[in-house]
Amino acid sequence: MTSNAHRAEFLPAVTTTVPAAGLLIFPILRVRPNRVAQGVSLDLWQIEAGSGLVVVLLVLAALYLAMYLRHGAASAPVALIERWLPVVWAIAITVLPWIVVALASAPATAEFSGDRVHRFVPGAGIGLATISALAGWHEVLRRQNSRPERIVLGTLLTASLLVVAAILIDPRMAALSYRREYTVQADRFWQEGLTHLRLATSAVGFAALIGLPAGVVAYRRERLRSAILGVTNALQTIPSLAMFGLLIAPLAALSRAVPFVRALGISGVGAAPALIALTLYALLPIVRNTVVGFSQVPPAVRESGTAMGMNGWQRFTMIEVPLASPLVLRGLRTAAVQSVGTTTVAALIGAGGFGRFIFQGLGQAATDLVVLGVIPIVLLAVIVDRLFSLVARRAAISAGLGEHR
Amino acid sequence: MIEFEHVFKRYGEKTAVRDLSLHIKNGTTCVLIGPSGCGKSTTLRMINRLHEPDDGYIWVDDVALRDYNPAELRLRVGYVIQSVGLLPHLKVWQNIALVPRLLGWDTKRQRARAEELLDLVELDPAEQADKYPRQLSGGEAQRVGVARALAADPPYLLMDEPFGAVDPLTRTVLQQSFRDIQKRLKKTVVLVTHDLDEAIYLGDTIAIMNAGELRQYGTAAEILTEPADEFVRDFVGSDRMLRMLRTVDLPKLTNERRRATTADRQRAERGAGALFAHGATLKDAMASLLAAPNGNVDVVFADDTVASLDFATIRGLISA
Repeated sequence: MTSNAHRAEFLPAVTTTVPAAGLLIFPILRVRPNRVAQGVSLDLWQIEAGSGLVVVLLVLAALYLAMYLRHGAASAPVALIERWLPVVWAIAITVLPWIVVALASAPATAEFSGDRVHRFVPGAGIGLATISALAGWHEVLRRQNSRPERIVLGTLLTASLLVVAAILIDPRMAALSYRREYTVQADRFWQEGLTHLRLATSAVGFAALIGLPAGVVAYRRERLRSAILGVTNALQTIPSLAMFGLLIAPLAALSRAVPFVRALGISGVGAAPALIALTLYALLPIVRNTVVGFSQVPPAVRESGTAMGMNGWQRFTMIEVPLASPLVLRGLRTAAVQSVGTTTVAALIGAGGFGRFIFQGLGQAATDLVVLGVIPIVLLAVIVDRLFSLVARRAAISAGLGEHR
Repeated sequence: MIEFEHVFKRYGEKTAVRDLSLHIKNGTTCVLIGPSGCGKSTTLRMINRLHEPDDGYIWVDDVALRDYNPAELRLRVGYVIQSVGLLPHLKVWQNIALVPRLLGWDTKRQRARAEELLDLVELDPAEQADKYPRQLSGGEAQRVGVARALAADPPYLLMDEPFGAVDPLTRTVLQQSFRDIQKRLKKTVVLVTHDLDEAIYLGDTIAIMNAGELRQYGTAAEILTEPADEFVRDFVGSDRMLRMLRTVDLPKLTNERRRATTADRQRAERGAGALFAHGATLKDAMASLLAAPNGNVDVVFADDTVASLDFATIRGLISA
């Protein structure tokens, strides 16, 4: 049994340490004259601050691995070290590589650029270190932690991320390629961001307006259920690009035929088809979770409402809605996170959003520009997800299903 | 008064209730009992119109049931179900105050009523009122279920296996406290159970049903001593005379008595050849008697008197 438990812990130890070795093998920095040129790569040992990083990380990684190879009971100090070592490791592998990048970038860029404006990109080594960092934090947070421990760990994670963020926006890092791209596009960046957010939120809003009632109807009328779920399922299977494409022809025709529609600014391309497609996509998670949410209200509870003298409306508002709300919220959450992602594709039919940078970057073989579009989308998705999870926990508690006290 | 008059209820081909006529007096407890699928729950649920009879009449206080608005009727008929059916998203006091809330009472009055009822079912309002149902034990949840059914002081109370989902010890305690409460409140209670001992202990009258038909209706003593047919005889079992013991309350004994001494009370306290009459039946006396070395047991009454019982006394009481 014990050897089994040991093995189960060994895999995360490997995934959190081994990728970090990429720092030694792959370049950690590349200086390039412009966004498409190959440029010059710098390895860790070509950087002055590098040796310190190597020593710190090697010691930590060795300790980390040693801790999983140790047999028998641990003495108190060893246990304490083993408790916090993964945390220290996660912080170190998150923050230290970026400090080295920051220290190395300015002199390196200056050395290679001469009189021309150069830019630098973090190399593959940094990418691999990031994988280690993700695995490290996952491992740390995955453990059975008590509530105060979770708060401490959450604070440490936030602090580490803030340090990295501070490094990234430091003036000395102005030559970072993504920042170069941002500086050029700053106005457009926020504008497209707003468009992205608007498209995604209105799509979820419309989908909720249609999907919540549709879900309730599907739950109440068994005959309509398979039809409603079938339609929403089918919509989900259409590839997003095809959906956008399919909407172009009918909307264009509609716009030509009906002056009022044209006056609204609706045409085959742009916001209208994007909004329609995104709304249709967001329907499935909302409708499905609404049906499931209402169906799992225990019949005994529903019946006891009836037996207490509730009429249909009272039973709906006082029993079914509160008890279904945690699952309904989960559906909205899925829909929202999914919409943030799918809105990216809407850029292809001229609806705008962060996707525009991605497709523009792809067209120009400018990876830096692609990354400028990808990062905010990922961040937005994570933030939306976290926000909904907070609300959902509240709802679960008030539905008497979550933690109390 | 609740009266069934030639009531039929069918589900497709199956007849769940067949030609049922039954009269339940106000202020009494009527227990519906029988094997699974005998129609007892269906019968109960027709009283608050969760089911509608296909034929026949049900009268409540001389008003035909179908003339009541179902929702209004249910506000006047308390209902306790086996799985309790407490609303998991409402606190205990809000659960209890559900019917008052539907009746439009203000929050303060709802809360006060809920606390009053928690007291009645022997739960501490200060400790339990703000809990959620999932934080309650099975027995506590059942008590809250009873409190909720009583919240708007309904004249009628329907109970569908109210003590079925708890352990035997808790069940006994719940049965005792329900009997105490019923003695005070004098509701008209219809209770469904499959536990014959519970039926004998709680029922003023017992209706034995099988396959949708009423086989016998009467007091526990009548059913135990004069089973109407073969089915009832089998149902009450060959140990029916043992069950009779539970139909006789000790406080009702009319034996010759003497004054109680401190020693008597102490012996009753320890359960050594003596017991207190309050809340006890002949069954408890019998149990003490079997454990007593000298063939008799002393019963200590609330008015500080003592009567002595032996096997002969008990035989006399049962066959009387």
